[in-house]
Amino acid sequence: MVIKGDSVNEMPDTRIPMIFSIITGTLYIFLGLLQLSSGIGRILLGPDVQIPLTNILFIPADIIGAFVLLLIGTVFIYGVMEMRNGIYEGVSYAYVGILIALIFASIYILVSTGNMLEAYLLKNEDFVDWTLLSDMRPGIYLAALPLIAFIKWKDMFDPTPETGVLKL
Amino acid sequence: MEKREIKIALTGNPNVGKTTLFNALTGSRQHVGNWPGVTVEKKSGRISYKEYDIEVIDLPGTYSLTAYSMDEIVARDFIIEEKPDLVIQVVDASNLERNLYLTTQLMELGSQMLIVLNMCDIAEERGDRIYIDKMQELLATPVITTVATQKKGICDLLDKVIEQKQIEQHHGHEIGYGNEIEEKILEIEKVLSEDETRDKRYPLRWVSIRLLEGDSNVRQKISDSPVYERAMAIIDSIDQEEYEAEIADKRYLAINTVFPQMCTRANDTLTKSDMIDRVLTNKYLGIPIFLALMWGAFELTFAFATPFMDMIDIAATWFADYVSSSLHPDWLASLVGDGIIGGVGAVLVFVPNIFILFFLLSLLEGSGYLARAAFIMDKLMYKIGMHGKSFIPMLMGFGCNVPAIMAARSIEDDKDRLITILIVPFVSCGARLPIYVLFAGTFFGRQAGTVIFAMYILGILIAIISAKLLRGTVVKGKPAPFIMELPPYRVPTFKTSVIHMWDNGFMYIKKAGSIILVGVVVIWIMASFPWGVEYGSEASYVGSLGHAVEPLLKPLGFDWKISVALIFGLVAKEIVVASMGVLYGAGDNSEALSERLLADPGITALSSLSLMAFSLLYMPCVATVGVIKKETGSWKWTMFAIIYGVLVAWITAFIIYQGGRLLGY
Repeated sequence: MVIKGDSVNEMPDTRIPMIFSIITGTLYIFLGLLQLSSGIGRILLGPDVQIPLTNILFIPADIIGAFVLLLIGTVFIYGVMEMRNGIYEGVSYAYVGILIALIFASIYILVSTGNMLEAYLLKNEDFVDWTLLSDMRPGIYLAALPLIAFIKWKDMFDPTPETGVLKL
Repeated sequence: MEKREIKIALTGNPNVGKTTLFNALTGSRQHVGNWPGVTVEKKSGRISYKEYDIEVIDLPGTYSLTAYSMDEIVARDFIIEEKPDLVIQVVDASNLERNLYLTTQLMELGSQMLIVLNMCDIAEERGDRIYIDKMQELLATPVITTVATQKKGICDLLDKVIEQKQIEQHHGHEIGYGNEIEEKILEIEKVLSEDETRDKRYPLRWVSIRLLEGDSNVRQKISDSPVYERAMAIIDSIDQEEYEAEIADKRYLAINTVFPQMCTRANDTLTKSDMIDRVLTNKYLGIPIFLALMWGAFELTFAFATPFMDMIDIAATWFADYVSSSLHPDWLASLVGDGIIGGVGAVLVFVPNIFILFFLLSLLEGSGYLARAAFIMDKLMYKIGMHGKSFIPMLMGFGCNVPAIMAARSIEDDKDRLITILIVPFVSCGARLPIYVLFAGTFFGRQAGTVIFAMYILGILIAIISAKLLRGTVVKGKPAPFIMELPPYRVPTFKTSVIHMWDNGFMYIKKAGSIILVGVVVIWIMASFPWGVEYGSEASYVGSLGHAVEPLLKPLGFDWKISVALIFGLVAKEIVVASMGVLYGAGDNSEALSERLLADPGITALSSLSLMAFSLLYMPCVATVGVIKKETGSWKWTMFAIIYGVLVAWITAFIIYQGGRLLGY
């Protein structure tokens, strides 16, 4: 076990980031698997195939997007495994998971902004039926959790100068 | 009053902020990257300060003054041969101990020195304490603190430069290497001093130490001396490797003695950089995260740019219509409308994609992430016979292959360097992007971003496979081990990213107004003659040229028009799109061009995929060919790069097209 700081007593409690990582990671992986099924289903069975829940959860048939969701989920869960084994640096995975989730949500939102410009400003005929919900996808709404964590725990991932340990 | 001149040289370890300081001093906009080896050639700039005209030379970063790589030789030769008034060693304050090794070597050169402690903000943030007065006393060298990114400490530095110029006190601090080595140094010095014709710019003690360390470059420099044989006899009498190790040990001993007196490091804290590295360089997650981020960048490059492309399209179409309808006679209207506006406009439409791509690459580079990408790819690179450092020129190749090939200079081993130079042209540069955007956007709709990403991955894969092939055949050998210092993560500044984006994007616009303009006029002439033929028809010169080449390219799914576009693309890859604009007579309207491509039975989604792959891999542009010749110094390797590229492109496109047909596409 690696412990940063001067003594074992200073080891911070990683329970909160661990619980957060379990919930967020599981959600990303679950929706990633649904998206992957939807993408593969479309290739193998044709465009009309419908995987349950995909409509209601705004899941597109996008394999690479599914890979991204699974990757973010895996980062969170990897951290859970380390924290469970007492490796306090495992919180790094929660921190980076939050950052990656926010980066991809920003990418999706920017892509959606581009489409919005096409629909409302340029009146492109390919975007006649476009609405804000047309580009909604798990990568956007799932990022609400990492966003809350990022705002609420802004200082949590900074080390305390005197001890060198995180302010968990 | 005439200003007095001062010449200063900026030297230091790679990635300590020399170029940032150079830019802050001179107001230049030299490219700055958060990884080692961005500067491969010395750069010069000027600043007028008080009554002085100061010339600043930015030297390539080096860890030492040995002669293991070209950039080390460039830096060393400049300091010795050009004799600047002041050598400024830029030191990373957050990594002081490691930077001091170069300090010990610079001291031996006897130049007048000044140490600039840069990145003090990072050291302070970490809680390090550096005692400047003690440092000045122990190193017998003035020390100034700066934060070059924020232009802090620049005036203090310039005042110090002037002060030192007035003192003109050359450094005499030396490291003792122990009795045995010192005796040999004196012995060699004595022999060398007998040669009155020797180059006096080289300090005798320094030359003697370098010879004891087995420096082949120094050895070569004194090879004409009448005392050469006698000096070599002394060198041959010692165990050179043992001496080299002993000399390095003594330098480290000196550093370890002074360092604790001048600096106290903060507790071993888990910094944000450590946290991010733990994940991004994880052996299982590192590569998938890299691929995901690159995919995100290309998705954004395509999708977010589309409305801006459309806006340029609308404005340019209006302009083209206006100009065409106002001009007489008809041939002039056709030259301007179909030729110039059609060709150049077809290229300019992609400016938003280029700008967005360069902005995103600048963010990734400035944050320090791309240096990690080289690190995580190292294991894979070594397995396939490549040096890990080769991945940095490959990543730089995403922008432009020319500086990327020059960046291979930081690779010490000649074979590793040659392989890197030969494979960099397979990395997809910005000039190929318009081809992908046009064809992927036309034939793959919403999957266009993914198709573009696939092209970039294909380029990297072909580069890697080629390296393996070359290593096993024409450039046999094992790659040297890879050691690279990972820079700290930094939040890239918006201003720096915008400047980087603008500089690269503007280069693209300039090309559109020069070489591409000439290209499209030539294509227009060939498409309009012999006099009286239908414009761009098979009976025109361009049609004849296309038909002459078509049999070679037919198996790849290309008709005569694509063949012509590819021939002109040899000059610059952007001309492929410009040629399509001219030959399809779509003007600068990219939507109209897309519609005409879709309506052309000669082009299908499969053949467009084959075309994108061929454009990616076939002969590099003229500028890249020129730099390959310059860097390899060999026509044989330059011709090899051209022929090999064309062959690889043909085979890959053949597999895609014929394989796709066999699968029923």
